[in-house]
Amino acid sequence: MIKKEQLKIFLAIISSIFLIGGSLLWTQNNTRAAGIINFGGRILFVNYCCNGGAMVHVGPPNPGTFYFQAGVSKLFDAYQIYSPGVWVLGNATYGGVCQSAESGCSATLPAQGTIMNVGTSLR
Amino acid sequence: MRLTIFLFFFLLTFPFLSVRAEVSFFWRNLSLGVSGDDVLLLQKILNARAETRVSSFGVGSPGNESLFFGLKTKNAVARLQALYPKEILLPAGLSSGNGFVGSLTRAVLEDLVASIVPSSDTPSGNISSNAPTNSPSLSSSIYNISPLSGPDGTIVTLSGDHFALTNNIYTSYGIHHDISSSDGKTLRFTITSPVPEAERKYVPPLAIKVYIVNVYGKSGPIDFIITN
Repeated sequence: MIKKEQLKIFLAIISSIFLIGGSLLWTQNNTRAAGIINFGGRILFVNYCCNGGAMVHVGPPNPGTFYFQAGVSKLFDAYQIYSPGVWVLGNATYGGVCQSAESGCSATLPAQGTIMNVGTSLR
Repeated sequence: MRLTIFLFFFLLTFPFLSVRAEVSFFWRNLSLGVSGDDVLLLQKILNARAETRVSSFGVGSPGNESLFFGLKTKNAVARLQALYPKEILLPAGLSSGNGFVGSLTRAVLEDLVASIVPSSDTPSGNISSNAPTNSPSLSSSIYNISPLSGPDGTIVTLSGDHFALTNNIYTSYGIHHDISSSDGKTLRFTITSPVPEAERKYVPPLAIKVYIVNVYGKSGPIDFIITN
């Protein structure tokens, strides 16, 4: 027979799991709904843009091409956003374009997102 | 009950009550696998002597000290310990060095710090004795950058406190390694634009962050603008 106390503990654990799990799912859905992309990986290379800032190409595990817009994107420690090889972690809003300086401003590179917040590793 | 309440409040306020009279560079034990700025400082001390050199070439060699306590560091620590039998080996009951940086080894290292940092950087017993106002710690800090902007090749002077003999200057585009400061208060280095030369005429001024990392740790960042 299960004692009353044990039953209480069991129910408390079950409801905690549902509460935590539910809140996580709710947060995730909200993040998607708000159009936010989370990314993280090594900077593979950087393209500089005629419209300011740079296009940052991020490798796995959460890869993508993101536009770092000076004055808009918030840069955190260790600030090495133009350093290929460092690790980055951040989020971005969908969309964004970079007029590639490499093409003499004639080509437009579409970005997966414009960086909102990004932090980098030291090296 | 009263005792419990007293202990609770004592533990709550203890960190604020305790005042460190002396600066300690080696505040924790160091062993194989740990990393940090204190390991970098340790390697610099070890590399100051030929007999305790971490490595002759590559990572760990003089000028290439790292933040990681690996096997070579452990062996070098063991050689250092052997040089201090009265201070380390005998009190610890060791017949030879074991490569573990415990309290005895740390005490020796604290004395050896002065051998690798400029005299103006050596702490004089009080944390704030050399520090300017608003700087309560001994960490390196940058107060000024001159000029504030400039093109590729601009020679920049950083002014601040606790610059060491060798400093790594980090910028948003990379690292300038082993920049030395003779007076502990100024550092000069040359800005290198990360933008390829052919593209510079198309790219607007690029804002970057500059900060330093040395044996005292990491400074806060200061802004610089790379113009065309």
